[in-house]
Amino acid sequence: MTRSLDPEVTRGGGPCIHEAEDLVLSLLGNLARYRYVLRNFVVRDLKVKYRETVLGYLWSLLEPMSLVLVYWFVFVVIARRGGVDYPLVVILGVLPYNLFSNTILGGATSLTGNAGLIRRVYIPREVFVLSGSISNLVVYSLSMLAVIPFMLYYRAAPGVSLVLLPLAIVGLLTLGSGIALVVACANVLYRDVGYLLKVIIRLFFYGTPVIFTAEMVPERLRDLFFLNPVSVWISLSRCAILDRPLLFERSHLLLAALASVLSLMLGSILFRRLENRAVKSL
Amino acid sequence: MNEIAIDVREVEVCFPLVRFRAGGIKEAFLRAARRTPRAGPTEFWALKGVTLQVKRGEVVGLLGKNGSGKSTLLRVIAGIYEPDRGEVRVEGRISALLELGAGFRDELNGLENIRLAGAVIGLSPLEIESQIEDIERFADIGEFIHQPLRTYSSGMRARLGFAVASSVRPDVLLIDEALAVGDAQFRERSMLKVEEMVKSGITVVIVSHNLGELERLCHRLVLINAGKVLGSGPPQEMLAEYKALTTLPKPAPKT
Repeated sequence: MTRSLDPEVTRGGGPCIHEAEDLVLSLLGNLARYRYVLRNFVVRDLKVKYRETVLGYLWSLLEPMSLVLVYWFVFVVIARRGGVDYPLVVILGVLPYNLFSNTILGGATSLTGNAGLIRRVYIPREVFVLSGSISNLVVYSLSMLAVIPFMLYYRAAPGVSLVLLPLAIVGLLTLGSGIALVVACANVLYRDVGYLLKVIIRLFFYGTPVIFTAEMVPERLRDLFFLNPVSVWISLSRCAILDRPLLFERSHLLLAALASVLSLMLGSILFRRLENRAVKSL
Repeated sequence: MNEIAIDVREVEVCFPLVRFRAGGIKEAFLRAARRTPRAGPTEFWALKGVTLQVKRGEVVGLLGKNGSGKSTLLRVIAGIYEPDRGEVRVEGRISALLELGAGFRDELNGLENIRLAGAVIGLSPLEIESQIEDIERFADIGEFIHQPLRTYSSGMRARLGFAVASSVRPDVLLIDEALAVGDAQFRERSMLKVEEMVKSGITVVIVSHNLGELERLCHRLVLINAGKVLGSGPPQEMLAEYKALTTLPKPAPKT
């Protein structure tokens, strides 16, 4: 028996830029059309996250703060490295990294975790994946409050470069969402993907400027280091808040932006090709 | 009134069998490395060329044994499964009652779940708020409406589910075994509610094993077996055919 797994392939020919653009727009359009569902999913995520905990929202502040404590102890107290404001540096790395990694990890389980719903009602499947991105954005914004005491303590004040922060966050979120779209389907077909991702994200943590800054990277390696778009976006977000000089070139920024856009485009294409097969395997 | 509301043409749907991904990535790699083809069938055709037209305002029941493809067909109409071959066209807003309580969350209370499920089946916040009292009244679960869903009995869950799902004013209503829940009184109320919806002129497709319910509600029954349509006609005729199909063959006499 022969069959085409994905009608898109037989219909579309080679995917070109315009097709990818249309796909991205159709995905985002569905988010707008299903905005009530989207809003409910986001609210549900947040409610479920903090319901029946005594401290509630405080957990999203305590979690990154405990990480800061650990790294401060290891780096500053034991290894005697890092600058005076090391805790501030770390929290400004941990929060955006969490945004990125949670978007991907949440994406991986967004279809499998909602199997019951997906098999019963028709909602465009991207709503499940991308509502996670939005929930994570909300969590990120809320947990940014944890930064304020550190800023006050170290007398750091944001300057005009703060306008670059949204760019960094959008870049990070776009990059993560594109990957999330792919791993959401992949995880349905092969559950190994979820485990594999956890390992990769743990390793990746040490390759990006989360618990160190780009200044600590040897100069000859910096060019290579900034080829990683996550490094660019996290550095940019931190320098935007602390009003510090950017250590990367304009070409790095362009490359990172390109990576984010391509991620979303490729993610959308692969998602549309895999989703129908994935839904049948749920 | 002669328009076609649901048009299903030559639809075929294929599922990969579980063995296809049984061992995950490891299996896939090993197989590729050893170049051994998979043994046995790797796919299952749940629908093999189904054609079905439902007129606007018609109530059609799908009849067939377990695993014959009824629920798959309903999901194809609802847009959940994309057909591998063939075409599906549906006019108007669809509300699917494919198992009750779709979209409910255990951690949220009854009212929050009404809002969530309402959004899921396509109600705007305004529509939900204007109907929330009616929904509450129809579900009739008293103070439990303020309790988290995990404290509910299965009957209460189903009541709330039906109350939400039937509050949509759809053009096409798909029901999958949804009425077979709750106590006798609630079932009767649900039946009346469906009848009331039918009278308002919506198109309905029902899957059920409750033959009395099918006979009472449907204008036409469609008999499905092994992914194919065996026949379609007035309820009594098709029920007889269904009974013939499901009657166990007499055991061969011992010699």
